[in-house]
Amino acid sequence: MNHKPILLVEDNPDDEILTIRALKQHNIVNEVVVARDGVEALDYLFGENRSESSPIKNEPALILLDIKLPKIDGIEVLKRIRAHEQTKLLRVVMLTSSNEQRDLIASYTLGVNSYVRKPVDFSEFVRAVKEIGSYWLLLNEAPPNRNGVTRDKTASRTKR
Amino acid sequence: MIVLDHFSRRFSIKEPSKTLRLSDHALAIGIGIAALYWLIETLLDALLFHEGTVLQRVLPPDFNEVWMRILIVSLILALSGTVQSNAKRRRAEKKMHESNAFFSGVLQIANDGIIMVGASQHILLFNKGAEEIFGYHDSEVIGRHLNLLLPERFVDGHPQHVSSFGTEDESSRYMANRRDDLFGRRKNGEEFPAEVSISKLVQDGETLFSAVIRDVTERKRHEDAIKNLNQSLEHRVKERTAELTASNAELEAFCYSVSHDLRSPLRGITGFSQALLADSASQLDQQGKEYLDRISKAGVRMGELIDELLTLSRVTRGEMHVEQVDLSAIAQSIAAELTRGDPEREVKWSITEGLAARGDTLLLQDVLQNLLGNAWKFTSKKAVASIEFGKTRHQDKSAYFIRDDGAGFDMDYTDKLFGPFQRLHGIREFPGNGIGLATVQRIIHRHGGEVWAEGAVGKGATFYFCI
Repeated sequence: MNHKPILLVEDNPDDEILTIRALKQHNIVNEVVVARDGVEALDYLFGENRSESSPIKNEPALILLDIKLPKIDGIEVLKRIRAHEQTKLLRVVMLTSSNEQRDLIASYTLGVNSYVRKPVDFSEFVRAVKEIGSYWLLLNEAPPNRNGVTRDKTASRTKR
Repeated sequence: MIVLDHFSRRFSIKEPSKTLRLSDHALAIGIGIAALYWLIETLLDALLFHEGTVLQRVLPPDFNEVWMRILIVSLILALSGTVQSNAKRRRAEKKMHESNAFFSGVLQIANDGIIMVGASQHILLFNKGAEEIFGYHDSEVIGRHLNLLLPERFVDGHPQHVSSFGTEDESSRYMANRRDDLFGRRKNGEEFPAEVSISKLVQDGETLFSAVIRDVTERKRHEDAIKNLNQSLEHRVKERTAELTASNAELEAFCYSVSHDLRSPLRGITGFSQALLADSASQLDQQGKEYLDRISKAGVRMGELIDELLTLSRVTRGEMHVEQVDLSAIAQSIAAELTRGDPEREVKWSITEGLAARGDTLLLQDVLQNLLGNAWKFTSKKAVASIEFGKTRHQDKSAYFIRDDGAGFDMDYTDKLFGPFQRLHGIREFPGNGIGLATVQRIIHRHGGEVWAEGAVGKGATFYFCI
């Protein structure tokens, strides 16, 4: 079991509560860090210095990324994650309302690990979150650890 | 006609024909006669008068006989020379007359204006066509400068053009390739667009220019009308394209927003009702639990409707890839799939082989999926059903059809059949969301085709489409 935190990038407070509730229901004990827009997500990952060569600030076990977000959208966040040497292997799952073609194409083109559309039905939603959690945190073999990662959990803005 | 005199004078006349004529040889005959005279006189002198000559006897004694002979021979020769030149002149005159008549005829029947000017650009010739175009009588322009016929703004440039042409080797020039800047001026001052070709002729060392002028006002008017029409058409196409692009972009943005934003609150509604059911079940009575359940289900249903609307809009939003589509093969595979889904049912499928159409494979697949799916659904209450796919002539059109012998529909409601979310059957009777036929219609319309239906309650339905 990977005990690093889960980064949930979600601007809708209802979805935030429901996602965390669903994760807890399935005994996923990882800390959930919430970023409410793309800028917060990038701040959490990279800190102030976003240059591609500087070391990253936090390395979550999994990123659940909404697409339609204030300031910087999920697609752009994904692009920056994939562009950085130290975050390019991070597991990123799009967890979003839309199944529009262009979102799917953009996400997969940028190398997203999974694309899950949030179901309206809560029981289905709970099942989807459970499957994401168990697959990416338990079943799937994580990419090799890198050296020199700082684990500064105090920097996370929101903890639940 | 003065002009013609002027004109024809400038044309060289063909060489006289080579046919032998008396007059052509008058001089030779004259020389012959002179020689004969000399011979006869010498013979007479010898035969009749052994001493002296005929002339000595005839003429007074002080008359120089040699001069007399020269005088007689000269007279003979001069006479024959005159005869010959007179004949030549008469023939030339006749020829000239014929030539005049010929050119005069050509000029008179020419619809085009023909003008001839000399090197100084003074008008020498002005035919009937030119009179009609310019509105001048020839007597008004003969001898006047060509500038009379040109708009003021060309007066400076034109003579140069003409004289430069005069020094070039070209013998003719068609000026219509510069159609847009050639204009003439009528007597009433009106300008008109003209098409002009000029040719050069050097006669007796003098350079002459003749111009054939065509008034293209009418043609230009037609051309301009066509040009304007094309421009306004192009403009309208651009406008419409811009409108379409804008409304497509709007639709795209709208759908994107619906897809992202409209479903979120629904998830809140269903999610928290179910959370409440799970967490606080003990505090709720049976009715309260049932209401929460209904809220949650209504939310889920609304989510489905939003999804269906988005699906319907995708039918018109996506790009079409037109190719040859094997409709029969698609129908076969859909029929097989439906049968696999409910193998207990007894349905007689009758699918005509080899039906094909040009269109987007995925979209046409959607059409057949919906129509055959409907046929399958609305025959579900029959012990033995039959479903047919074929091609026929209906309402004067060649159309594909899907026919079933199922529940059918009331023709009074035909116009409602293809509206989104319109249903002619209760949800409990036949499940469905009323989006299938709306999708079919959109796809067929996108292919430039038509779709219509016939049916009767309890007697089945036939859906026709042509693309």
